[in-house]
Amino acid sequence: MSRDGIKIILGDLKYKSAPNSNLIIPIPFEQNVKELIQYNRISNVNLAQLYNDERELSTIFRPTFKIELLFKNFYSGTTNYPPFENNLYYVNENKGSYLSCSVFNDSTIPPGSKNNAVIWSGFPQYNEFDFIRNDYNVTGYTKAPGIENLTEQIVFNSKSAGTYNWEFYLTYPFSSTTLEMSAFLDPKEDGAQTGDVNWNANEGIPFRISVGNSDNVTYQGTRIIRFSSPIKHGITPGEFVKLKIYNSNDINTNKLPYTGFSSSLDTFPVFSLGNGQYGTEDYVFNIANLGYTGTVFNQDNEGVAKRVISIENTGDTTSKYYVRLHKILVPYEDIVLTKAGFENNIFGMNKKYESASTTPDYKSRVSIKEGSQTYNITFNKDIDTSNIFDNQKRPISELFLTTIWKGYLGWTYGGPNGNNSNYLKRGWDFNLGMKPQSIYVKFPINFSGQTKQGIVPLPQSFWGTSNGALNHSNIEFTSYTKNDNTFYYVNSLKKDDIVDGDFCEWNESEQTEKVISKVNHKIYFNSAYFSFYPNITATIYDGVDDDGYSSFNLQMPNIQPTTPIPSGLNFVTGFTPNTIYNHNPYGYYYNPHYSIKIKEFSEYIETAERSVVDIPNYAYFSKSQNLFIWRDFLPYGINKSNSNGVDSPFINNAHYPFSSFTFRLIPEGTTYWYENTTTQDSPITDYCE
Amino acid sequence: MNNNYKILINNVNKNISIPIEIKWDFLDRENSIQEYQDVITKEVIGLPKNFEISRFAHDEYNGDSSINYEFNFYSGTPSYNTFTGATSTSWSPSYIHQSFTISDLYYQRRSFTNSFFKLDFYDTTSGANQINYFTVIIPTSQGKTTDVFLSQFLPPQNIKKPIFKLDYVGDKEGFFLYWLRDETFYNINTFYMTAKFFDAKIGQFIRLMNKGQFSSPLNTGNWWRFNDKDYFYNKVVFNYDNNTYQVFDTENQRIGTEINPIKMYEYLNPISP
Repeated sequence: MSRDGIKIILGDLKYKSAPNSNLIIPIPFEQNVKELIQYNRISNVNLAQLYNDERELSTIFRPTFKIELLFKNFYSGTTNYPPFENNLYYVNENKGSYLSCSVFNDSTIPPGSKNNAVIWSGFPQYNEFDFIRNDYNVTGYTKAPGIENLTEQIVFNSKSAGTYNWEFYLTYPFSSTTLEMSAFLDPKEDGAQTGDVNWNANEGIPFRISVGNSDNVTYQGTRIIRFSSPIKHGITPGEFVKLKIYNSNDINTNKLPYTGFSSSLDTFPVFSLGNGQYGTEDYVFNIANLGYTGTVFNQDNEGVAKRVISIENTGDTTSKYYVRLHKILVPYEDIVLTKAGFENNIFGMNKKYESASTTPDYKSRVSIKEGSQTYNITFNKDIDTSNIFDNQKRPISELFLTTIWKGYLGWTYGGPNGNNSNYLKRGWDFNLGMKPQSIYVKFPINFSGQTKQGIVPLPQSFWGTSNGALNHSNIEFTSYTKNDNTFYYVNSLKKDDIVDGDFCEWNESEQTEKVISKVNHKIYFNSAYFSFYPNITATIYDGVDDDGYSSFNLQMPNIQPTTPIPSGLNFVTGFTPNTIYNHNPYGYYYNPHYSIKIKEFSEYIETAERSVVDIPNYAYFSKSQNLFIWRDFLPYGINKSNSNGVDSPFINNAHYPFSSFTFRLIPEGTTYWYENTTTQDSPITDYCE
Repeated sequence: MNNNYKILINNVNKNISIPIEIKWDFLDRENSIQEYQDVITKEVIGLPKNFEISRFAHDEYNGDSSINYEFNFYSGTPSYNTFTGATSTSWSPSYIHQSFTISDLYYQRRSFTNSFFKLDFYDTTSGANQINYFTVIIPTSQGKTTDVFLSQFLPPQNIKKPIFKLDYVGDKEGFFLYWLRDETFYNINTFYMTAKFFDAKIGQFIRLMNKGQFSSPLNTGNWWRFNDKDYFYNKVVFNYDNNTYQVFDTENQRIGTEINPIKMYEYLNPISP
């Protein structure tokens, strides 16, 4: 009973002639005091529960990685730098030794002297790419500490064996940024332009209108406007796109909003995906052409699009785009790189014996072209994630093993003339591969003695020098001088240094980060020290030759220039190796960031009003819904339907997550070295099956 | 307390004061109990301890990181007169002095390959109360080589000798020491290392000293009259900050470097005159 203002009135005062009577007031006494129940006083020690509690609370991680280095030594070439030349995996050793011997009959060269005119070509040995170098104290190449070093490239410090070529770091995405990007796009539509599209990363995914509003193309009976992108757009039909369409391909301008109708429009429903060809759904989206007029939706107009899930709530459902930034959490000094016992890749080691008579320095040795070692990585220091937050300000859920090419021996950096024009290059998956160009060259398939001739496009891509600083990583260089040459290598990164990461999309209503395109690094040889473009001057013609190729035609070494000049061609200029070099020297690229999951987000999106307690501080507040939105972390050992969750061992009050991955060092332009590719027909299906 | 009141009529307003007794309870007592339960549980079971280990490498010196061992075996006749007259040249780094033949070494016979050096790491040099915390094995498959002639008709061949240069690359078994990374569990950063050679050919082990029994003052009649702690141990100091270790001799001079290796000498038990 809650009323405490009870007034007791005499009976005859209630109404006239009312009788007086005795009153009884029942007063219920409520008492909420309870005794402690026995359950709360006695508790069994539950080891499993205690283990789970400690596991959930622990923020200490000791990740372990197993890395399989998968590498095909692809480019054989030449070098005039003796320490390097004397340590190649030769491909013309017989020819080289023959030429060397033949000069003994030349009275101008003292017997036994090396003939520098002989070009020894071969592959850089596997030690130049391996995670741990083992060429300790190799005569003429590396010196042991304490021994006077005259001409050898380095004094080999064993402790640095694992950091001469590569350096490993543990990183986490802590922030994001925007960058100007460029990608090659071939829409493969009638009349549609082929070429680069440029955009700012934060403005969405790039596109080129491959079917304009005036093209009258229909899809399922509806006129459409088609947008082709070099990137997977991640859009599904029924969703919307917020567009920005450049004026004259100037990325800082916008033709939208469209004002041809009564309202201004810059967000449009996606009608369908793809252009009818296999696999284009991920890259092409169409909007219905409602009769748009003007030049806004002209074919070949370029722009950027943002995915919008709901037109009713664009504030929460418009995706954000950015480049993740990684911060160094553990520097290379605290990383323990070891060879894994008993595990090699399936391709084995490729090596051969070079006898003293077939080497330029007359020393026998075993040369290794490719190895098969697998490596383990652990850390000297524990990783405490209690105060580390990711780029969405959430407690971090994944760490990254970041691999950076150091190139200490100097064969890859420094540029053709010893200046600093070679960079550690940075691009994304959409930058891989070559752009077909309208210019073609003839040059040998294999520079290692064979002179098979093929016609291939001159290599050109995002990675070429034409893109300037767009594809330069932000890692600085240092140099040293040896044998009157300057050699460059990238600096080691320190704790809290920043490295660019993947191109990502984030949508507040989904609370999910999607990687649109992974970042890649590319390395390529400094042609002053290693070149697989022959050191000759050739002739370039312009025009259309008998093979139907337009533009210029290049004659390379051991192939006599075509005489007379083929009909349709005109002499243009002399050709030097730098011509190719400046276009896009071939190299190797790799993915620098490999993830290891340490926590998993729930597949359910939580919502709560402001009054609810215990809302995580990383929750997003939706003004339109007046709700907080977030995803909880799954407890360890709990799976969700589309992933395995995180169930790493927990001992020593620390988590031990493990990740195994294949680190691929991929040669670029591989498809351009072969004139023809063949495919194996599918086996006939008959009664024998 | 009575809760049955009878109110009689006397035409005067009355007030009734009803004393309602309330027994206050502490807010969130259950939470407190839960917290207390956690405390007691931890007292009963204990907190998780960190038994994780780290890899400690030999600390760099002059751009070099290798650790160098030289194990010397007694080459003389094990008789009293010979031994008491022995000099430094009576100990040398060769397995030949330790019951092995050149053939054993060259053909890598089991008696040789199953032999090994064992380094024990103690917390103190006092044999009475020391604890052996960990052990490192250096197999005979490692080590430098020397030329020998198997036959007058054959060119010289390489056989192993007990001189080890261990590093990050090449011979590295025994180079790294693995020890607890958490200093709070055992607050110890100095160990005392002894060496033994386990000879698989004769099934015995021998102890190795940090100074030979030829050195002063042992060579003046004190061949077996000395304190163990002065002649069987070298000091190993761990640096937890950069995960390295250094080795020092009894004079606290750093040893194990290329030019100043850790030299150990076979100890011979007392021989009767």
